[in-house]
Amino acid sequence: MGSALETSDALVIPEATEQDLQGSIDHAAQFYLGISGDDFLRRWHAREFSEDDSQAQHVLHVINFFRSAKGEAQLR
Amino acid sequence: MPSKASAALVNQYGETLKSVLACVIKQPLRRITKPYEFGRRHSLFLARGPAQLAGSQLSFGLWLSFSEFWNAQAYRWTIRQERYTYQIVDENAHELFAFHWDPLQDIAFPHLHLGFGMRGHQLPIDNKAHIPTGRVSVVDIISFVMLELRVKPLLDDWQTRLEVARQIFADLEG
Repeated sequence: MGSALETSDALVIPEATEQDLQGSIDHAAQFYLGISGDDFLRRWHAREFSEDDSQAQHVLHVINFFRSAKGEAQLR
Repeated sequence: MPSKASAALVNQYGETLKSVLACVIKQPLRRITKPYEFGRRHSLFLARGPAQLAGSQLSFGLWLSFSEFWNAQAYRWTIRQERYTYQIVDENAHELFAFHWDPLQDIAFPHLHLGFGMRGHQLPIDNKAHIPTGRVSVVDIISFVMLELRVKPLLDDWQTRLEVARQIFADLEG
């Protein structure tokens, strides 16, 4: 077993599961906009939010933080 | 490759961050870790952020990344903070203050956004203005929350925790 895996397992802050990330996105969408994370993404892709919608931008910030942390392309 | 020694540094960073946040918030942290050539990048966030500050109408969000890497010059593992967002939000989920720093974004310098807190003050800027700040630590923000926004500390030893954390973060990034 490689040492990277051993040391990762030993870190005190738990690694987020996909369920954790989905829960965090759901929380953010509910908190800022009162909708679910899935609803947010559907409406975002349908371009239902204006660029001046700061509440939507906050949710997008959370999603993009996770995406960049995982090395994935950001939503624009 | 990250070792037990570097993991110990990451854990010290994590424990210190938890200790500081525990002064005002009851919310666990979660982590995303991504390896890269010289070490690992860790991104931390409150599991359900923004989270309500104890005994307050305000909520707080924290999203930050730091790396552990082999510092060849110092010949030791080092921690380096790489970006942060600290957000303080009112009871209507409106942003009051947001402290941002991400050198990879278009606005690369550390800055502050003033949100609904600026309403009614006739400032010549809007809430998208980037007000330069210099680097802001978690310790500074939690101090600000307690001392200026008057969020009551959850722990009697909060001052000691902040002082210790300030020193540990300085040592880790030194």
